[in-house]
Amino acid sequence: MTKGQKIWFFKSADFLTLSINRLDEGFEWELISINYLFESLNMIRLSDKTRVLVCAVLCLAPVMHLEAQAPAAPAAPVAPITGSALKALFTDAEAAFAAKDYPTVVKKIEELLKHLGPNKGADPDTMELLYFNLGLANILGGKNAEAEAGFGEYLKRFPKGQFASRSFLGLGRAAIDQKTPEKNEVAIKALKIAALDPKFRSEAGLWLGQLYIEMSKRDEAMTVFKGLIGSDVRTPQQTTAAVEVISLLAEGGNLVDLIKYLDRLNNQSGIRNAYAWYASQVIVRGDTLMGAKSYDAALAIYRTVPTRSQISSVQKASLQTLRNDVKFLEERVEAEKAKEPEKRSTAVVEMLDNLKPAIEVAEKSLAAIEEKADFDAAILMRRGRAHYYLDRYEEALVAFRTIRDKYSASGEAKAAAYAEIIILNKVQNLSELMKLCDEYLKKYPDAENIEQVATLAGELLVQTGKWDQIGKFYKGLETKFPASTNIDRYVFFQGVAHFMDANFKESTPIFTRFLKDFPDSPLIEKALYYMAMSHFLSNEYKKSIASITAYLTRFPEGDFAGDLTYRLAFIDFNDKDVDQSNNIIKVLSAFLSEHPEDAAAGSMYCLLADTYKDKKTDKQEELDKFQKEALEAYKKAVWAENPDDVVQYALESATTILSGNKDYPGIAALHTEFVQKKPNSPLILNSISQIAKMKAREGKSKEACEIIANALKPHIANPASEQVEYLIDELVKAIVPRKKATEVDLDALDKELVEVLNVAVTGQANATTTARINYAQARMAQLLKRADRANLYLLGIATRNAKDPSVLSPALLSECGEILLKQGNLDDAQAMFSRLNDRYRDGMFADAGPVGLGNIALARKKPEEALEIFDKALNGAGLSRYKETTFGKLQALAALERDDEAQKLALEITGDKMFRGEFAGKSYIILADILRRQAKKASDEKTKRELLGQAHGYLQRVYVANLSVPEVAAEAYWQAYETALELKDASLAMNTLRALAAHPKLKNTDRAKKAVEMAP
Amino acid sequence: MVSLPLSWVSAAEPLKIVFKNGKSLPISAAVLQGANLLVKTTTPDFIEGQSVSLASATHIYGDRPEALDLGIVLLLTDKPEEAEKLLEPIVAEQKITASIPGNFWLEAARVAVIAYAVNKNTNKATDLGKEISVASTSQGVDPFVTLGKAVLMSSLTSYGDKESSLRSLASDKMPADVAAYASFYRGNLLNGAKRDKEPEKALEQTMATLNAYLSVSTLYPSGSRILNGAAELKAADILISLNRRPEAITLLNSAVRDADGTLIAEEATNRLKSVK
Repeated sequence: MTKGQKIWFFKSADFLTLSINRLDEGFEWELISINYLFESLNMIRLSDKTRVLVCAVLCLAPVMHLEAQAPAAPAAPVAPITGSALKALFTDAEAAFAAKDYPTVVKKIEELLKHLGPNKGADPDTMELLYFNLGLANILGGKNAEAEAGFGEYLKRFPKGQFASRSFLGLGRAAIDQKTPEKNEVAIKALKIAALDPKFRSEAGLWLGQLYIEMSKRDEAMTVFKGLIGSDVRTPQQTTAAVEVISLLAEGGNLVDLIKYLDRLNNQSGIRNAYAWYASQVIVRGDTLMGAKSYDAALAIYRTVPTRSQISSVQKASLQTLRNDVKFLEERVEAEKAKEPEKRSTAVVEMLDNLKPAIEVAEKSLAAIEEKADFDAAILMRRGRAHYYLDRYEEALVAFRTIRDKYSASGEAKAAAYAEIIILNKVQNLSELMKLCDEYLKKYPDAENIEQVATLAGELLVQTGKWDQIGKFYKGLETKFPASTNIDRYVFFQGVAHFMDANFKESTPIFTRFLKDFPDSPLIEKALYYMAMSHFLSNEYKKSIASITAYLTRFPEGDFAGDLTYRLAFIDFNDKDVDQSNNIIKVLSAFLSEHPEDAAAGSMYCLLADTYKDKKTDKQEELDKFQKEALEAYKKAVWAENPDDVVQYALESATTILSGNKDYPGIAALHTEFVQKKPNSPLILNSISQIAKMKAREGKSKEACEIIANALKPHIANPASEQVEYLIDELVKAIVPRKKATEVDLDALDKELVEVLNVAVTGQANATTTARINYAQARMAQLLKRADRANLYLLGIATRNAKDPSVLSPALLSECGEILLKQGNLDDAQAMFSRLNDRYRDGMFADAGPVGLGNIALARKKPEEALEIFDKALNGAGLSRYKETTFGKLQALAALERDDEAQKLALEITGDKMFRGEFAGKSYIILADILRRQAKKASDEKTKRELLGQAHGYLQRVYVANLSVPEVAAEAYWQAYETALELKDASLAMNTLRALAAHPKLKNTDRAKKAVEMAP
Repeated sequence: MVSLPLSWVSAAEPLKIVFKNGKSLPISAAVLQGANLLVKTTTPDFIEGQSVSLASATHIYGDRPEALDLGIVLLLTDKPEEAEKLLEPIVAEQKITASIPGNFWLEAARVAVIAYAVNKNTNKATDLGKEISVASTSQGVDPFVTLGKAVLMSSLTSYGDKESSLRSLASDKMPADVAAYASFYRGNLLNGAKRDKEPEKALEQTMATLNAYLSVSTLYPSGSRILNGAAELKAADILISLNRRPEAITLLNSAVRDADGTLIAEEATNRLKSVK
C-alpha cells in the first residue's frame, strides 16, 4: 500500500467501524479499527447478544482499499466496463451496505467480481475483499447457506488471506444458524480454526462454547470456556465476549475457573478501556446469579467490582487517551481541508464522527456510576448478602459493619445494621448483639422492624442473665410500646428478671399483676409457676402450697406439674411436726405411675427413696422392706432422664445401700447395667472402675474384662471418642494380676488382652482399632515395667499412621507426637500435633497440640516461632499443660538470647512449687547455660569467674535435689564438670566427673556412661 | 477443513509490547532509550536499530509470569527472601515495560518492595520505591511505597504507630491492592501481638485480627486472588482457634479455590484434612 491510495469504507449501522491507512512522518499507522459497541450500559441483552456479536466481529475491518485502476481487457461474455462504471458499482455497494440493503450489496459485488476477475488483472487485494464482503453481506442479510458458500469460496481462493480467520468465523456462524447436525459439525471445525488466531479467540470460543451447550455437550463447552481463560481481551468485542464467558463459566458451576478468569480480566486493556461499563455488566450478572441462588459464583463476581473511585480513575485515564485521539484526528481533518477536493480523504472525518459518540457513551457509563453515591455501599451489601447465604457469617459481618461505620448516610445502612443483628443473633455473639440492638433502637426509632429488634434485644438480655438490666429494659419497653401486642411479654419478663435476681419481693407483685391483667396470655402457665416458685424460694410455705395448688388445679398436666408436685412433697418432707412420709409416698407414687417420663421424675424418685430410707420402725422386717423400696426408687432415678448430678446422687445412694448389704454382685450388676444403658454418660468411668473392683473381689476379672470390652465396642473405632483410652487403661489393670512384674508372663497376658479387645473390635476393625490395640499392649508393657516394649508399640503406631493422623484419637496423637519428636521425625510429629490442635482444641488434650508445635519449632531452631506459639498457648484457654508451655517459653527465650526475660522466667519457675522436679531442674540448667554464655563474652576475668561460679552453683542444686529425674541430674553433673573446666579448676572438674560416674542412681544415663569412660 | 484439538491455548509465548499499529515486539528484543524503545534484534515486525516511541505502545501481550504469582505466595507465607529471588529477575527484565498499560513490572516491583520491607532491606526497598514512583501513574509517592515503609518500620516504632500506619492504608481511598496488602499485614501485626490476660479483651484482640484478615477478601477483594486465599487461610486458623470449625472449613475451601495452583491452596487443603 502506498501513500495516496483511495480508501473505501463500508459502514454497518449496527456498529461503527473506522479505519485509516496512513503513512506519516516516521510514525506508522496501518490500520486502526475502533468498534463502538456501546449503545448503552445494558447494550448486551441476552436476546440479541448473538446478533451484536456477529456484526461486531465480522465487520471488524471490512475495509476496501482499492486503487482506481484502468479497466482490464474485456473477456466475453462480460461486457467491457469503464473505470467510472466500476467506481459506480463500488459506490452503490457502499450505499447499499449503509442502507442495510444486503441483497443489493450481494448483487453489486457479484457484478464487480464478474467484471474484475478472474484473470482480468484486478488487484488481488481488491478481489480478496470482494469475496470476503460477499460472505459478509450474505450473513448480514440472513442468507446463511449463501454466506457459508461465500466464506468457503473466499477460503478456497485465499486460504492464508488477511480475512481468513474472519471468514472461518463467518462460516462457523453461518453454519450454526442453519441449525442442522451436519452444519453444527461444519461450524465446530471452522470455529476451532478461527480460534487459533489470538484476535478472534474470544469470539470464536464464545460461539463454539454456546454451540456445544446447545448440542448438550457441556464438558466440551467447559473445555472451550476454560481455554478462553488464557486469551487476550483487548477489543470491545472481546470485552463483550468476556462478559458472556463470565456468565457461562458461572452457570457451569466451576468456581475455580471462574475466579481465575475474573482475576485475569482485571488487568486486560479491553476491560480497563470499558471499566465503568464492565463493572455495571458484572454487577448485573452477579445479581442474576444471586436470584438463581448461585451465591458462590455471585460472590466471586461481586468481589471483582472495584470501588467507585477506582472505576472513576481508571475510566478517566482511558477517556483521556480517547480524547487525545480526537484531538489528533481534528488536526488531521484540518490538514485535509487544505487539499484539493478530489484528493481529500473522508476517512478521518468518518473516524472523528465515530470516536466522539464513543467518548460520549464512555462518559455516560462513568457518570452513571459516579452519580451513584451509594455505589460502594451497594456492592458491599451484595457481598454481605452472598456471604450470609453461604453461612460465611464473619465475612458478612465485616461487609455489613463497614456499611454501618463508613457509609452510615447511605440508603443501605439501615438494612446493613439489621442484617448484622440477624447474624450476631445466629452466631450468638450476645454482647455485640446487645450493643447493636441498642444502637439500632436509638438510630432508627421509626424503623418498621423496631419492635422486632427491641424484642430480640430483650431476649438477648435474658440470655446474658443480667437480670438487673433485663428488668429495666422490659420496663422501658412497656412504657415505650404501651399498645404493643407483646405487652404481656414485657410485664412477664420484668417479673422473671426480679425472680432470677432472687428479688421475690419485687417479682411477686409483678406476677400478681400479670395474672390479673393478662389471664389469657400464653405465658399464664409460666407466670403461675414463677409465682409459686417465688413463694417457695421465699420459704413462705403456706403461700407456696396455695399457689402450687392453684397451678396444679389449672394445669394438672402442665409442663411444671411434676416439678411443683415434687416441691409440694419436699415441703411435706421437711415438715418437722407431722410425719408426712406416707402422704409423700402416696402422692409421688401416684404421680410417677401416671407420668414416668416427667422431667422431674429423677428428683421425685430420689425424694421417694429418701423418704423410704428415713422411715422409722422397730421392726427389722419393715426396715428391710423400706430399704428395699428405697433401693428400687434410687435405681429408677438412675434410669430416668435426669441431669447428671441427680443420676450421680441416685447411683451413689444405691451403691451405698448395696455396699452396706455387702451385695457386691448387686453393685457390679447395677454398674454393668449402667454402662450398657448409658454408654455415653460421663459417669461411665466410675462405673467401670466399680465393676472391675467388684468382679476382682469375686475373682471374676474375666467378666470385668468382658464388660469393659462391651463398653468399648460402640467407641473403639471412633477416633474422636476420648474415653476409650481410659477404658483401655481400666481393662489393662483388670487383666494384669497383682504380682511382681518379674513373676508375670507378659506374652501370655498380651495375648489375653488382644483377644479381649478383638471381641470389642469385631465387625469394625480399622486403623483406629489397630492403633488402640497396640496402645493397650503398650500400656500393659508399661505397667509391667517393660518400657522398651511399650516404646516399640507406640513407635509402631506413630510411624504407621504418620501419613494419616486423622485415624488417631487425641490421646494417641499426643503420645505419637511426643515419640516422633523424640525420634527427630519433626514433619510427622508436626502432623500429629497440628491435627490435635485443629480438631481437638476443646478436648482433654487441648494444650498438647500447641505445646507439641512449639517444641517442634524449637527443634527446628525457630525459637521466635516457638515463642509465639507458647505465648499464645499461655494466653489462651486451657492450661492443663501449663508447666510444659512455660518451660517451652523459657527455652525459646534462651535460644533467642533474650537473657533478661529468660533469667527472670527461669527464676520464677525454680521458685514456684508447682514446677518442682524435672522442670525446675531443667530451668536451672538453662539458667546456668545463659550464665556460661555470658561468661564467654565477659570483658574481665573477675566477671567471668563470678558468672561461672554462679552457674556452677545452680547446677549443683540440680544434681543434689533432682536425683529422682536421673537424666536431668546427670546432665547437671556433666555441665557442672564442664563449668569447672571453664573455671580452670581441674580438681573440681575431675571430682564432679567421678561423682557422676560413681552415682548408682545415674548409672543408666548416657552422661554417666560417658563419665565412666573418662574418669580415671 | 482441518480437525483440531479442542484446546487451542498455545504454550506460553514471550511477553510482547503491542503498538497502536498492531505490531508487536518481544520484550527481550528491545532496550529503553529515553522515551523510545530501541530494537536490538530484528523481529517479524521491526528491524534491528529501529527506534519506536514508547508512547505508541498500547499494552503488553502475553501470560502473567508464573514467577510473579509464586513470588507473591512466598511473600505471603513468610518467605520474603525466596520471594525476592523470584521477583528480582522480573523486575530487571521487564523494566522497559514499566510505563506501558497492562505491564507486569509494576506489580512485581511493588511486591518486591514489600518483600524488601519485610526483610528490613531498607536500601533496596528505597531504591525500587523510587523507580516505582517514577513509573506509576499516581501522583507523588506510589501508595505501595508508602505501604512498604509501613511494613519496614523498625522495632523501635511503637506497635500503635505501626498499626495506625497500616490501618490508614487499608482504606477505600487507596487502590484495592494496596488496601488489601495493608489489611493483610495489619492482620499479621495484630496476630503477633501479645494477648491481654483478661479473656474478654484477648477475644476482642483475636476478633480484630480476624476482621483485618477478612477485610482483605471482603472489602478489598479485587486486589488479588492469591492474597484473598492467603488471608482466608490465616482467618481460618483463627476460627479454628475459636472452635468455629464449620466456618473455618468454608473459609479453607474458599482459600483452596482462590489460590488454586499455589502453595497456599496446598496448605489450605492440608488444613482441611487436619480439621475435618
